Amino acid sequence: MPSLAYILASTLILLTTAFLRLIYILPAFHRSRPPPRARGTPTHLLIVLGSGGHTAEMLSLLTSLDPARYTYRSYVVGSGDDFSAGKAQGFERGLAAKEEEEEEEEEEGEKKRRGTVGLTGAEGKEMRGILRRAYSIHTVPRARQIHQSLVTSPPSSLRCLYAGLMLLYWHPEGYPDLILTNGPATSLVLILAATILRYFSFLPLVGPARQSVRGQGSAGKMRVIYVESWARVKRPSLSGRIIVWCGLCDRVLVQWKGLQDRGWGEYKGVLVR
Amino acid sequence: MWELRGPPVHPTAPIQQASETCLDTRGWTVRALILPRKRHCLREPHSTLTPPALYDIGPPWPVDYRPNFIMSMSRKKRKSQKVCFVTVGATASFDSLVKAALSPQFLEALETHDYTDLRLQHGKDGQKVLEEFRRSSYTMSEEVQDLSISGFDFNKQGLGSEMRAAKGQGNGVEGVVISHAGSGSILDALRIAVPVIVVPNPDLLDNHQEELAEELAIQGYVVHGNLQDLPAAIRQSESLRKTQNPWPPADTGEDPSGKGLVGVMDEEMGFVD
Repeated sequence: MPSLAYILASTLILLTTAFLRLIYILPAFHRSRPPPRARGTPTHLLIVLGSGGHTAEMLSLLTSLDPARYTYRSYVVGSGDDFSAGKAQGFERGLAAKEEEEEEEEEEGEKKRRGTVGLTGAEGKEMRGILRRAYSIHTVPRARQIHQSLVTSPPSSLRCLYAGLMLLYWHPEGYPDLILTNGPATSLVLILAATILRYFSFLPLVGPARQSVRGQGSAGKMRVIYVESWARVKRPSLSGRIIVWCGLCDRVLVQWKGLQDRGWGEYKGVLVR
Repeated sequence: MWELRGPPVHPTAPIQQASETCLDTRGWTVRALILPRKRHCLREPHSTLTPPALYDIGPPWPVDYRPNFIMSMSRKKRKSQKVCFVTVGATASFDSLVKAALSPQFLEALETHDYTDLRLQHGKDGQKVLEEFRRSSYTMSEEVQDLSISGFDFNKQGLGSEMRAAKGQGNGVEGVVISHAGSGSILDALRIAVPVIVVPNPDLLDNHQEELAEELAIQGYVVHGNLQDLPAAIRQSESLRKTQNPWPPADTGEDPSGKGLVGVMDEEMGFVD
């Protein structure tokens, strides 16, 4: 029978370790530059879409996204939000069309340069077809229904958290390299799930084995970029405040100079297009 | 049948003058529509050829036999289209804006600024307001009744076509968009560079929309409208038409590359060029 002092000491050590681990993984305490990555390396970007306004703004933020760099995109929508899912599909179709145009131009230029038809043909087409389908849309149960009271909110939030953990853990492309959000309730839960996975990444079951799906040491770091809504001019939104106060995100971008002057995030011009 | 009364027209006189308007004995104006076909029977004033006896068989162009009062109406309709588009958004109802847009003072203001169409996106609840207005509209003055007023609930495909109509694409001159302070609608209007009047909804609890409208008005992108005084906003929008700043703004904050979000994403991914 171990003595009380022994139990106390071990609990204290455990708590301290847990706390140190938390400090170590939280981006707010641990600003690190990511290791450099070569062009053309496969990457996984996770985009959290919320309700109508959030979705529209997020997709207008992404108009200049280069699919050659962000080779795989996952979209997360709340269940029953067909509007956002449809928008994401439309956005991907636009990306594919843009890519095709560029490729055709490139191909023509190449033909002119070499004067012959290259090995692109059926094979190349097929390859591009695979690349073009490089996205997926996932649904998670909503953290909070639109008119739901706060009393019933915790169970549904927990269900959403569980779905988020499962989604990140079992994703066929492995953990995302980057999570991009502009602050719907679903994104809070998803970022929490990512933080939990980051916390336990020392476990072989959670960490390196899963991270090396794409054979990349630096892959699957799940860095978080939070973009404050364009509609927020002087005061940050509630979800923004929660994410920043808990130190859950690596970068906070704001779209009005007034917010940066109040010491909130970085202002890099208006990001919506 | 075409009959020419009064003094005979000199055969060498250009037909154009003779055919513009000829007074009938019944006091009707007989009007020949100027069509390309007319060129077939145009004679040179100094032609050496003998003119054909045109007036025996009547003119080869269509003739408008309608009485004067109908013609005067059609003349009014022919003035180029100028659309005022009012949108209340999809999420929250905003009946007070619909009511303000149907108030006699506002309609008169539209009339004095040569608007021909008022188009309302009134949402689910705004339908009643519009119907009520239709029932009571016989009390309106004749001038205001000349304005064509139409409304619809919401278009899931987006409001792009209405915005473009307000811009005056197709046939017509540039009108104005009156929008609730939702970021999506404001952005849509700013992108196609049509003057916008932003009217924040005072019923909304967390009123960050007011701040957005204020800031945008200060920077010279929109007119900050007030429910109580929409006619003044219409006047201001006429001056905004000349001074409206182009969208998106050139200011990129402390980001010399001007890459915005994509730049930050590349940094976080470790892409270095």
